[in-house]
Amino acid sequence: MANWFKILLILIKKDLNIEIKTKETTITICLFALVIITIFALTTENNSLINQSFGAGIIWSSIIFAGSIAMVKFFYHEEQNKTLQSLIVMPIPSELILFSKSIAFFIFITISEIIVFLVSSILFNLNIFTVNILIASLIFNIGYSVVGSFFGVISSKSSSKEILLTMLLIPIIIPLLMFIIAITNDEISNNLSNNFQTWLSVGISFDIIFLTLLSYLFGKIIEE
Amino acid sequence: MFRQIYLITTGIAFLISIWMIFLWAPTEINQGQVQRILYLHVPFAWASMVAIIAIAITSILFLITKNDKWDNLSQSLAEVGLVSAVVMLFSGIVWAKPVWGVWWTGEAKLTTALVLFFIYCAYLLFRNYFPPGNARNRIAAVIAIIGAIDSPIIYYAAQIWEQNHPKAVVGPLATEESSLSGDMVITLLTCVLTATLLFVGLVWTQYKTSNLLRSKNV
Repeated sequence: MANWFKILLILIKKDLNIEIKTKETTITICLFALVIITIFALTTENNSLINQSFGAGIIWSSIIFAGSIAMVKFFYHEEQNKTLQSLIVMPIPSELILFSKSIAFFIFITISEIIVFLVSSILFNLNIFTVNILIASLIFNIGYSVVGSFFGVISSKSSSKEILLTMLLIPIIIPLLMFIIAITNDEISNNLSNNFQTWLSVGISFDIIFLTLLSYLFGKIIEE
Repeated sequence: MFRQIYLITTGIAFLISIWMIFLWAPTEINQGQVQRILYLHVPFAWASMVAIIAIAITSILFLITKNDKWDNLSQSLAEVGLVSAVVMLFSGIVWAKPVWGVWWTGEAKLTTALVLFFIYCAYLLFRNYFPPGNARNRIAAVIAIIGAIDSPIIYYAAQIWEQNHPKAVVGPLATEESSLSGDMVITLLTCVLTATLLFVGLVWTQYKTSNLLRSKNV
């Protein structure tokens, strides 16, 4: 068990070191998400009612699309340098590969979200930094990173990575998307909904189900 | 021989269904003639829901046995399932406008149906884009299982989502809920049976065709 943890840390450290050097994934997510948000900010009036209704949808759809593009890049390098194949032939449990990729991507997306939230708060004149949104974001990031890493590995082998990853990822994370948009919407419109706990249970259940299911199925997809 | 009998039975069932829909079933009081879309919408909704469960079962069987026939059957089910989902969505949209006043609403069943359609698309898109071989078949089976497990979660989430959003009901169903009479239920069940026969027949034909194509390496 201690050895597994050690291997996991080494794998995460490897991805973090690459990211510190290139800063590719974080910059891709931030820039792409901010470009989408800026377009919406330019096209809508700075009306608090409009922002309260559409703010959550704009912010989260930009993060999801930016995240999926960054994910394609992230796994494309792995495929190009054959690092994923090297990891697969190593005598380590396959789940560790999925966990390491998910944790690394979780860190990248969380850092990017802080920047995106900050700019969105200014552009849309909204208060996004509330405890409920931050908790929900972390739950969302776990599910998004796990499902994204799983499909990232799958799509990296295809010639049409971008479209394939987006088409596989987004329909599956719809419950997670509903969860995060509902909570963000309630918070920015100061509508302290009774549904917070129900939504939280949806988010947490999604994370648990998919973490368990995908760590089992990951072995099946990399089986040669 | 069996093929011919099946074809004739499906044809007869189809004609009976058409007769029942347009001549035998009474007109619904609140919605009028437009309610007859129900006899097309529900059977195809049933077929598309059955297809996703069947794909998950055949995919599990493929992962266990590694027999290509299960993979082939999964693909055929997905193709026919996608067509059923398109018919379900299209008939639903056409039906919603006169009775709800809008083409689309954030209702749980509608959202689930739309996401189900995207799951079918993703599955078939993957099979198209990924290089053919054992790896593709195995990953496709995994995607099908994930899609099937995700469907009830989507439905549950969509139900909570629906509670937060007011229904856009301005048509005849704004004040009253319609209920089905005995004749309507019989017509609906006949249509469901016909759609099931049609669904099985199409899956079987598609399965045979792809078997043939695979054996010829096309």
